[in-house]
Amino acid sequence: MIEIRDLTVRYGKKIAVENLSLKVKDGERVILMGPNGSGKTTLLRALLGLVKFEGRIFLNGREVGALSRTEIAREISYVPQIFSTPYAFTVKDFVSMGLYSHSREWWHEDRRVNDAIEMVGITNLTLKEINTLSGGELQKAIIARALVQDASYILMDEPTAHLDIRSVQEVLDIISNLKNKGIIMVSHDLNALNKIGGTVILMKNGKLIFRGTKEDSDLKRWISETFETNIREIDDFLYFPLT
Amino acid sequence: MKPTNYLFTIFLVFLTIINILVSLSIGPVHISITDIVRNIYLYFFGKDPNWTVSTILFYIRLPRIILAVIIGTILGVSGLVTQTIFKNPLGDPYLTGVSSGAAVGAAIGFLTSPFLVPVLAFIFAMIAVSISFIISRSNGEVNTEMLILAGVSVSFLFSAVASYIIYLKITNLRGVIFWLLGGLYGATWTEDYWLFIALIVILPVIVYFRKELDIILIGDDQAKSLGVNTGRIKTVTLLVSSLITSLAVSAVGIIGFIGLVSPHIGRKIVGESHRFLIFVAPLIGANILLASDTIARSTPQGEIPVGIITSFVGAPVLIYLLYRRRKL
Repeated sequence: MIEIRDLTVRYGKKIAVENLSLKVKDGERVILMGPNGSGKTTLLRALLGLVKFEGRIFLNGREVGALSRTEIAREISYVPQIFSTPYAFTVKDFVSMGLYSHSREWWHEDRRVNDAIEMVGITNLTLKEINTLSGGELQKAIIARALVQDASYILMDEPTAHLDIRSVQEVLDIISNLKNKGIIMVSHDLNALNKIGGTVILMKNGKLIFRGTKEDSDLKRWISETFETNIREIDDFLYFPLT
Repeated sequence: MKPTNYLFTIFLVFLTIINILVSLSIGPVHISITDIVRNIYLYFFGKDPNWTVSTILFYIRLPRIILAVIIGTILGVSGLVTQTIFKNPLGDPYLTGVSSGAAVGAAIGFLTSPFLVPVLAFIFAMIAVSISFIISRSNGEVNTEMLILAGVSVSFLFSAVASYIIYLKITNLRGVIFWLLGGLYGATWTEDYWLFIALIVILPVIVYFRKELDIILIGDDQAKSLGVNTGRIKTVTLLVSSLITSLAVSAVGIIGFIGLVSPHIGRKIVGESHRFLIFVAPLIGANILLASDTIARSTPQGEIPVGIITSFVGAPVLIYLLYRRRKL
């Protein structure tokens, strides 16, 4: 279980996350939504131990501040926002980096690497260099790397941002088919909410303002208030309008 | 990973041996490779070698050749570490202020006692590097963006001091300029011995972290999330590569382009991963410096600083690599 108690993160004088408490159970799926600058990514970075914070975070009962990088990596894997890289690692080399927290051996021939590549459907790209992949292909490789890392939780920071419609659907399919993994996914995409399901958390100005599920009758109202927009306009953008 | 990477690494080892034999044969007295091999055999198996040939081989040419191989190896591996940690393809081992620090030490050495040049060069190189590191520490770890800026600033400062001393105080300008451009003319077995010891102590540290160097290239946050202690690895690898570069510079002066070009050539052949690159870049550095030094000591004008040759060879190679990248 992930347990966050009274988390506050400051960037200089600016408070990015304020006094936030949250519990995420094993295998729970959480969609984290909120306007730009509401503190979603900062929350993920705090969970990963990448920023200094006040308060306490426990990963399966152990406090993050007391864990080494390797120990955190065994509990949480991370799918960052899509990035571009000039470095020409093969997909296999790149995915195999996920095994680092388990072993410093050379990993290329590990079965887990091939299985993960197959699971996300990019076996044909195994020897292709990552700097030549499309956004959707790279995102699948990043997810495969997170699978190889074999942590209890996967944190995802807008995994479908900047992807075309088909790639969004493929990536969401892969994520929704993940078994026995806790997922905390930052997304601006309401389709992700529909596809992945689970818990919905809304953040605004660094604070948690709503926690519920997509079936909650007042979710639309909360989303409208959080984003200061009309939910009817939101529905127009959806492949699967909210219930 | 390609099977050819193994083959290419082995090929480079053989190329180095051939390069050494060719370099041994070239000089004012030409010695054929057959004579070299025969004399080495006779020398080591207690028979009666040709002592004139043996003296030229073992006391004049070989110490210098071994020095070129060691220095080339040091510059190749340090250049690779610098380019990886700074994620900057134009990184070279002198980026943290090593060369300008060493220049100040050397200038003071030429002003006081030429025998002190290597010692003072090493001390001032380490002072410059230390200042760069101290300035760029943030939250207990090295901030690489700050380190580049700190290195550039420190380099300007130390270059100004070195220029002041050289311009106003030193009469032996040819000597100091020769040193600044780099040369292996002063090679001795003692120098080889100590640099070799330093190399075999430090190189395994860098080789040990080659997996982490791969992951760091993807980005700091991702590397940390995969379990890599980026702060510790950056600090350790940069410090040891700066230390070993300082030793190299104090021994032979400032030899440019080897550290810059060797990793690029290596990447073109064995790819991005440090699994092979960590061995290939130093071997390429060793071969380029050895070949350049053989040319530098064989010109019709007599010996010229090897730094001139490496720049002559290195600059076109770099321009070619940039041209290729532009076309992509």
